[in-house]
Amino acid sequence: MRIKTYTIRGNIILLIAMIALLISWPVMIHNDYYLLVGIMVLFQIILAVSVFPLIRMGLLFVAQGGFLAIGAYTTALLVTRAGFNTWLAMLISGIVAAIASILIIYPSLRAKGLYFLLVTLSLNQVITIGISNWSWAGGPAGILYIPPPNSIPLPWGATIEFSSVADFYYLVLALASLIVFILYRLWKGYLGKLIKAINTAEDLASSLGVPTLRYKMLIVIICCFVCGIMGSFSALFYGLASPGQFGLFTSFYPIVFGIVGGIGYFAGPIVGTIFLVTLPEFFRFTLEYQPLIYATAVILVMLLFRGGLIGLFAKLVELAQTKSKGKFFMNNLKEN
Amino acid sequence: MEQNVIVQVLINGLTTGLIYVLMALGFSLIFSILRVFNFAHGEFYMLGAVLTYYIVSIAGLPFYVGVLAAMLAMGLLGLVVERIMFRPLADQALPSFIVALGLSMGLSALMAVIIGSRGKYISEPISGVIKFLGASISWYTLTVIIASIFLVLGLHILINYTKFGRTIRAVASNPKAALLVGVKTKSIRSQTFAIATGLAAAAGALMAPLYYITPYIGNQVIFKVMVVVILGGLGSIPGAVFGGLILGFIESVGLTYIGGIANIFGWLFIIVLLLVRPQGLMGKK
Repeated sequence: MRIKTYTIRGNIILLIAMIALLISWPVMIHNDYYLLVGIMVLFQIILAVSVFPLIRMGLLFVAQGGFLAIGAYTTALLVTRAGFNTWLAMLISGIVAAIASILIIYPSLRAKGLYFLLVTLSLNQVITIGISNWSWAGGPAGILYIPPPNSIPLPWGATIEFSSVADFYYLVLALASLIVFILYRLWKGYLGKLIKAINTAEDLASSLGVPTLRYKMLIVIICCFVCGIMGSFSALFYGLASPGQFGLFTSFYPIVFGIVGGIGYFAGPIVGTIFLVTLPEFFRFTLEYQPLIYATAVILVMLLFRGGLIGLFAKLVELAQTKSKGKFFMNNLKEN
Repeated sequence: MEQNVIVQVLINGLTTGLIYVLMALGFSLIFSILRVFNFAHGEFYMLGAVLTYYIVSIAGLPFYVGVLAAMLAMGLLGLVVERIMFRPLADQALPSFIVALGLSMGLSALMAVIIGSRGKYISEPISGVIKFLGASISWYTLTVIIASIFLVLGLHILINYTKFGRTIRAVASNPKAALLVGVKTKSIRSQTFAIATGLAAAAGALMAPLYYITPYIGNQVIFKVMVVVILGGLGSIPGAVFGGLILGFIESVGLTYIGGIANIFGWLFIIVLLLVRPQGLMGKK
């Protein structure tokens, strides 16, 4: 696409500036509250980016909350009841969530369109209601007093401790960079092409010998693995895992972020998450109106900008480009 | 098990079941005509209850006037909402789902600001109970049952035996062909939306005296409606009636004899059902 060549230098500068800003954020802002907002943004970006390929294929996967819960409880139980190392527990949480998704995903993918949304929604409910009735795991109160992550010894003798909010900020920043980078590589590679193919013409793709179902399963499994890891992070960060943290709206938010940001581009969910998670912070002074402002923003973006926020940006870039070439303005969002 | 308990449970199930039917009918209508998965339908129910509360306890009008006024007002609101929010996104399933989700969040947040989250209460317009097969049923419950049956029958007649209903069915089965033979699909869409919001408001208004009115009742109801719709199949009207009544009875029996954990069986049942029949119990392929 033309846009890519046009903004590639801008992209790299932007990326470096972003990374510098993200790393220096705790140093610049000596305020734990803004760090918490930063953690929230990065956490949600990971969720939104991991569910984004599914939205692209028209699969509204709303069981992320459930798989976060599976991850959080796995870590919580392994660490508090079995005394596992927290990092090992985190990895196991991801694997457990992925295995759990393997068990359910094949049958769920038989349901098409909105029925897929309903199956995953029910799944989310079953997991959270089931956990809150599981008395060995604390019932509705959940598991409390989960210790913070083990310190990491560095080769030159120092250790990384996890005691302040800034430490957790860097942890989630590292997780976000790693996960977003890997998912971006996948998206730019074969898997991304397949996703686009499945989105535009699934029957055609499968008639050409692409095992579409298998790839859909793979993408769901990747998404659930990420959810498991992030659930584990949330258990370690908050020091507790309770069913109330993983309600249905936990699953809805990443999808809302993705679509508001625009699903035409990989950056869409990231832009959407940053916009919608930080937006209420500008309205701290009027606490009770916050949800209202939030909802209004969602509706307005959907009504005003086809293709989400990123679609608006792409349109502006294309407009500038075609104007300079003297060409007629064309809608470039065919990708949707 | 005593007979009067069984009758009581069945009557309770019938009442809630009929309310679910009213909700699911509107939801299904919107889905089959506008192709919108209207997550905000629960909020229309909530608004119906809130409006009735204001009309009855602030303006001091009789309850039944309140119900009718709430229905009308919500119908008008439905017209406006459809025009502003859903018509520009016609036939775009994903954006309109997100808009509906945003509308749902927005309306309950707005009501939380206006009425507060603690809940309001209006008393039943008629008091007294009647004895029926050993069970005691309040007159008001009976009113709710009769009114809901009337509304369901009214909708049935409207859709199946009038010219307007024929156009609705035409748009549902093939919007392009309907447009070609001269059906004003756009106005059919907004009118259908208005009817559906009116029905939701009626359901909310009728249930208002039986429960506390909080900004969050919409959320509770919408999930039930989803269950009903899955049971009955999206876009199927007999399915909505069947699913609503079944869920009403299951819930009533479950809450009486099993307790809170009964909820999980409902959701598990849905998963199993959709695995066996991915198009819903009565839905078509």
